[in-house]
Amino acid sequence: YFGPKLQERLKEALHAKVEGTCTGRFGYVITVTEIVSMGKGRIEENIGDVVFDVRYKAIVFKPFTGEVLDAEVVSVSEIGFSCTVGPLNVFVPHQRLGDFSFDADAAPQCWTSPDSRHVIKVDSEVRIKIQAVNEHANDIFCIGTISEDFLGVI
Amino acid sequence: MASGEGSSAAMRAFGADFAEADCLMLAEVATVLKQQADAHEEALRAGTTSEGLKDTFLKTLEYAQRFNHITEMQSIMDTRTMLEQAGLEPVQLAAMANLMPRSVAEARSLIPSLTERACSDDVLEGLINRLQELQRM
Repeated sequence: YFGPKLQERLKEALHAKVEGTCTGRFGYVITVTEIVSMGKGRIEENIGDVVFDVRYKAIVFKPFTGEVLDAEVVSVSEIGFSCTVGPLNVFVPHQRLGDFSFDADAAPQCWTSPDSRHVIKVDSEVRIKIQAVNEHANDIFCIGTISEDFLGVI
Repeated sequence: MASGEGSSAAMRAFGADFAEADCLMLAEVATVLKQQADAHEEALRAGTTSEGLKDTFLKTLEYAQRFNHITEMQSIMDTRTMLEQAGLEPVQLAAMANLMPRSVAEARSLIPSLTERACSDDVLEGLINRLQELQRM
């Protein structure tokens, strides 16, 4: 591990450790884009492991309240619909669907606008606004709305 | 999506960690992730790695490709240059490119920080029209 391929091993270890993680502080770490510096490494007493301080740049995704995002619908029910923005899950409750109404008899089930011109079903694309951001240990969960101007089915 | 350098008062709303971060447009995210996915494909073929790509990465790549509006490399660069020169903050810049508002009213509704003081009606309308053109290229 400590031979000529040390740098490569460090890069792999870094990618494996941080990519795909999610914290309240930085949001989702999508990918490492650049390693700025790698320290010299110091040996941990009693264990023999070597610790390196690595400074790097990454693309992260951190949603904020009030942000407008396009999303992909993944499930629909009478209490609202769930959608995703990349790795992020957003739930839009029925109270935030304006004048859309639930059609339980449709196949597949969906939410429809009063004039029936707009339909929200699985795989629909919708423009939502984030109303609440809940940060958990390894995940972020948001509540959204479509009941404002310029939001809704795309 | 935030990364790298630059500084902006708007970014401080994300917390001190993001004070120097920049905001990427979906077009840029799609480009970077696609390059990395292709390089990973090469590495798999060459046998230099056997790890798969993470779920978060794949979901983001799929999302960025699905919702991106600007596909040509030159158009992507022109979009960033144009929006930066108009004096937009990083968050506003990314929002304009990602959401592609079709009117001044829509832009101001979707991006509340984009007030008349930040960007006049005339300038904003010009940006909106040019964005529509860049999207079609």
